[in-house]
Amino acid sequence: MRGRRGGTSAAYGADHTVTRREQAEESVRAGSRRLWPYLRRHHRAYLIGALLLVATNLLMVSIPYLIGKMVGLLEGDPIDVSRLLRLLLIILGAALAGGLARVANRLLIFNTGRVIEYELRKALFEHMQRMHSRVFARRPVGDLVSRATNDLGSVRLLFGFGLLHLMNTPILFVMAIVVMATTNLRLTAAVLAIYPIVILSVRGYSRRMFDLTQEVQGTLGDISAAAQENFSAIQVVKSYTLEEHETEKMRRMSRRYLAKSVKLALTRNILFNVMAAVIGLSELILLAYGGWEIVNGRLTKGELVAFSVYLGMLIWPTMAFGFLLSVWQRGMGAMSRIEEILAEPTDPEGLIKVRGEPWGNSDFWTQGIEIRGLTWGYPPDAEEADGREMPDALRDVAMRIEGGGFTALVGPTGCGKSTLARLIARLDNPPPGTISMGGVDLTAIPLADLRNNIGLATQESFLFSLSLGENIRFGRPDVEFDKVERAAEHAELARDLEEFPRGYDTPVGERGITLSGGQRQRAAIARLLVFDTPVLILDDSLSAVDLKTEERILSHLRERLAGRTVLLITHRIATASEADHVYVMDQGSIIEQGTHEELLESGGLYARLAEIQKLSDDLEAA
Amino acid sequence: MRGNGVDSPVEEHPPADRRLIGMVVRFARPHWRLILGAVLLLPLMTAAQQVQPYLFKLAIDGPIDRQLGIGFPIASETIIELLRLAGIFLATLVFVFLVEYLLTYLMESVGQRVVYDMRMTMFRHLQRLDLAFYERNPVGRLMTRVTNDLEGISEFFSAGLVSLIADLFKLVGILIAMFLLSFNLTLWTFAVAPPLLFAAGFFRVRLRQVFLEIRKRIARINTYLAESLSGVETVKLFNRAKRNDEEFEALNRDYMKANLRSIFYDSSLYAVIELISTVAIAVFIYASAVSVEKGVITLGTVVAFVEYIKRFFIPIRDIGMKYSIIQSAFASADRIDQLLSEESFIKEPMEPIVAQKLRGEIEFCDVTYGYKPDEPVLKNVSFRLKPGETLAVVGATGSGKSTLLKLLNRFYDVWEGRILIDGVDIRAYDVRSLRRRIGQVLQDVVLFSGNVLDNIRLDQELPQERIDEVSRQAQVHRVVEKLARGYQTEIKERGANISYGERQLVAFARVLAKDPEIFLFDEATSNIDSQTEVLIQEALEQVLKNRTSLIIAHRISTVTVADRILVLHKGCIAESGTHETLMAEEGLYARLYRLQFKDAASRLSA
Repeated sequence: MRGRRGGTSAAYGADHTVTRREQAEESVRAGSRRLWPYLRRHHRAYLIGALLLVATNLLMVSIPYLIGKMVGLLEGDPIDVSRLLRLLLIILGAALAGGLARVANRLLIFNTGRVIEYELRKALFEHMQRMHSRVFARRPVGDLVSRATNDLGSVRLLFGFGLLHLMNTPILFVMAIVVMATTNLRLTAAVLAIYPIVILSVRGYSRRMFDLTQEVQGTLGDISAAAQENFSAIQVVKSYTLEEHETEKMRRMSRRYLAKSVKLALTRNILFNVMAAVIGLSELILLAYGGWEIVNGRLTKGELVAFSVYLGMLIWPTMAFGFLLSVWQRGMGAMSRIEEILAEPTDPEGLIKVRGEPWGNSDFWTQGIEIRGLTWGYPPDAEEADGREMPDALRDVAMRIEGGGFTALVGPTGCGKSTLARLIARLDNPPPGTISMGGVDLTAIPLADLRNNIGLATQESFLFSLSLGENIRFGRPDVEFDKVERAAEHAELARDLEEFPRGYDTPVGERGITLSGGQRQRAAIARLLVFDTPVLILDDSLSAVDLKTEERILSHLRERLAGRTVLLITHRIATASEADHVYVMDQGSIIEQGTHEELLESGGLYARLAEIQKLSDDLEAA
Repeated sequence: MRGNGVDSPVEEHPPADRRLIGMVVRFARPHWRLILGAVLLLPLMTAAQQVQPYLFKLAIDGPIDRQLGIGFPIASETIIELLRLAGIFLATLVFVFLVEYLLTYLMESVGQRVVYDMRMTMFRHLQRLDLAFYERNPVGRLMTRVTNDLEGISEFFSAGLVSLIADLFKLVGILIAMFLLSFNLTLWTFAVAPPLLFAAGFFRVRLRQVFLEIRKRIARINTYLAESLSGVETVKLFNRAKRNDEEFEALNRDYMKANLRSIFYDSSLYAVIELISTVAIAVFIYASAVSVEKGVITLGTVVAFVEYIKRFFIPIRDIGMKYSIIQSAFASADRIDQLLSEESFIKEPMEPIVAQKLRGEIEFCDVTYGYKPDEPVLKNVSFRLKPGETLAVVGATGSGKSTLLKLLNRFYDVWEGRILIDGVDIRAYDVRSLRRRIGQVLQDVVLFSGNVLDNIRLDQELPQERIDEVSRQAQVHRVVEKLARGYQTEIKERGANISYGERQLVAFARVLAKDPEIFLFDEATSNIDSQTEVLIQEALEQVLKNRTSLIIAHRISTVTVADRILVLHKGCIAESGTHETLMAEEGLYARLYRLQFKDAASRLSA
């Protein structure tokens, strides 16, 4: 799955004809440069780890030699038991010291891999939370999560397992070969002759396994996609009695997955069997050729035993060395995918410099917002727009949101109302010089200050899978309880809270699924009230609340929370009629403005909308 | 935000192990032949493997020892005998290689087939569950069941259970071989067993806990991550990024700490077992020197023993990890089991009537229904539709219009009253045969991945002429002409390359291809460009021909094609009649009509 998606991502270039492997190799090159900072930062752990690896291997290599000595003693007549006992104790000591050294080097190196994983995940999360909204439009959340988990796992494997064995295998081999060769050079050469096969076959197979794993993952991805499609479209599936058709589709995919998985398992099995066979063969050589050497008096029986122990010691590090290539490749590819995210732009700060930071003054935020000559379009996305020009969402908008008053913005769906709200809250970036407050351009204000003072609630306000209480105090986690209670009351949520057996502790579920639409919206309003900003933008955020409740909420806002600057974005005329001044927007432009009464009289779009809504209100009331 | 998803039944319901083993057994039973084959092969393989060190003993104690006794020159029997033993050794290598391959094939097949069966059972079960179930369960949760949880089961078979059983066989085989070689020395060697058992037990328990902890913590990290990113705008708006950083840092740190602990236990276990195996070898050699069997113990025995001891300790190392795989598989199996025990509230009758060809007569008799107890959405609704008649339903949002359609599809069962089709209660029909006689087009047309053609014919095999006919009637051919690859054009994700209105046309073609006697239509409220609008009207006329139709109308042009109009208000029928009679009544309908007509006219002139 990732391989395919990778084909279109920027890291691999736009050429779709390059193979997956070429892509992988390219990403390896790109990733290598990025390893150094981490290696440098943790160089002490790696250096000490390497020293301990030498110590471990020295001790471990000495043991078969000592065992060989012990076996040699067995042939004496009488057997020198005291020397035997001494050897036994030495072995015990060496094994103990070797074991401790091994624990220490693993702790150092594997832990460093985990620490780097931790650091990278932290950096990723902090970056992702601040990424520009355009990045989120391009990159699905699932992809981002996968990079922070799967890709990070590959990187960690590279920094832990990869580096450990990159150092360990050569060290062990050098030592073992030295000891073995001083005992009997030709036998050493003979038994180790086939070890390169291990490295070669692991290399070859790990590449194949990598490809197969990708295929299996791809099939699983298809299954997930099909299941997701089915569950989301279940009503159509049922009404067209497609259950069997869909089951058959699922059956075909699952079959393919079954076959591929078994194939992958068999490939893996062959690999491990080749390893086992290589040990077996080297033992066979040891048996035949070693026997010959004993007969010829060039090897003792004890040394034969030592050799057989050495062979056992070497096999796993040899295999690990074979896996290194794919660990390296995957780790590097993953690294570059992570770096790609870290290179994405975050919300820009300080586009314009302003002297004196006037926004630190609390009076500053009561001045009202001035919008002038605002033309803005969503930047075209290369992949989706297919080269088409995107029409501007807002065209030459001019309006004034009076400080301490209620301003309404009315218009049909898709006219650009929400875009304007997003620009004021700087979820998207308005062009400098178009939106200002008391003469200070909005883009000059640091984001943190801006957001502490301008609150926005949307139609689909996102609730987190926390308790209702925690959601309400989301922006001010440490606020006193009575403030939370007051906000709930002002958001007309108090009665619902009484009905919930667990009150504020009621878990709202993923995206607030356990609440009704109206409850979700009112919870979001309560959250906004606890956040307590002098400027409030309510972007259709009471659409699922009935008219009477909405009226009550608005009157709380006006009476008990007086002095706040409120922008009401709505398509309900009844809501707009609460405002001091109303702007009407259509197709990105302000087409009418005035008080509710003035607009009704003028007989434009606003008046027409009012008439339609009066009828449906009458229907409600009838 | 602690990232504790609602979807974490692991912590809430401890798995009832026995029930779950029962479930695994139930799914594994059909593959008993494969399992039996594997069980028969296992001892064979173990035996062949454990013969290998013994061959060493035979070589050393036999030809090599004899030759050493004679000195030079080397006897040809020595060489022949060495070669013969080497030949047998090679044969066992090949044999083990083949058997191991076969064994993997068998066990992996069983595992993957069980997973396959479970996936299909789950999917079939899900296809049978009613709409209410889907409204209760978010898609994400269902996805986790059919993907992650099944992966857990798959791992259980491929990495957990099978290798654990194979390891057990190996250990037993090695022990038997050792005891056969020398009972006494085996006992001596396993003098190290108590500390081994203690150490293994100590680390196993801790490793298991840590592994479970790790799984839990990574799940938390993923939940938190996904949620923070989905709600990233809220996080930004409420200046929460810093605090979220801290909370995530804590989760991240917890996860790292659990991992560091697992590294510690894992390396310690590894080192301890390595230590013990070395000590066991040394103790054995010492014992063979001082024991009463001195002299009986040949060098060959020593070599073989050393090899057995080495082999014995390898599987013990990995037991902890395998155990944790099995544990988490049980948790997955528990969740799968819960899903499989969900029941549909829509029950099939004992002797269902299979709807073959209907006349298309529909009658609602005093139907009352609601989604929440005590909150009826439809109240005592009664009306009748003659075969071939078209009824338009108008009314405000929430007046219960779309519920009418859902009830006719029998997505829910009525609380009170009856719905009759051709004079028979719909609950007496075979549900699927009934749905096959009903075609519907909803506001939001769902297109499946695949090409345009697949989306028209769905599960039917249709000749090209028929496809051409229905797409001409539904005006789809005009859309198809514009597409680069015609009917073969792949629908992009969420139908991005086909406009909203064009999707409606495809949905009409779908209905025509299905050719049902009853047609249900929930008209789209969104703006559709006027060109497509004209096409939709033409297509609709075709679909309405010779069908009993119930349409939820939002446009006056749609209302006028109906024979009769029903005004639904707060779940009750407020008015009903033809356009003319309703206009004459000067009620809700008349006002609605005038206003919308005026609005439509003013838009046209604008």
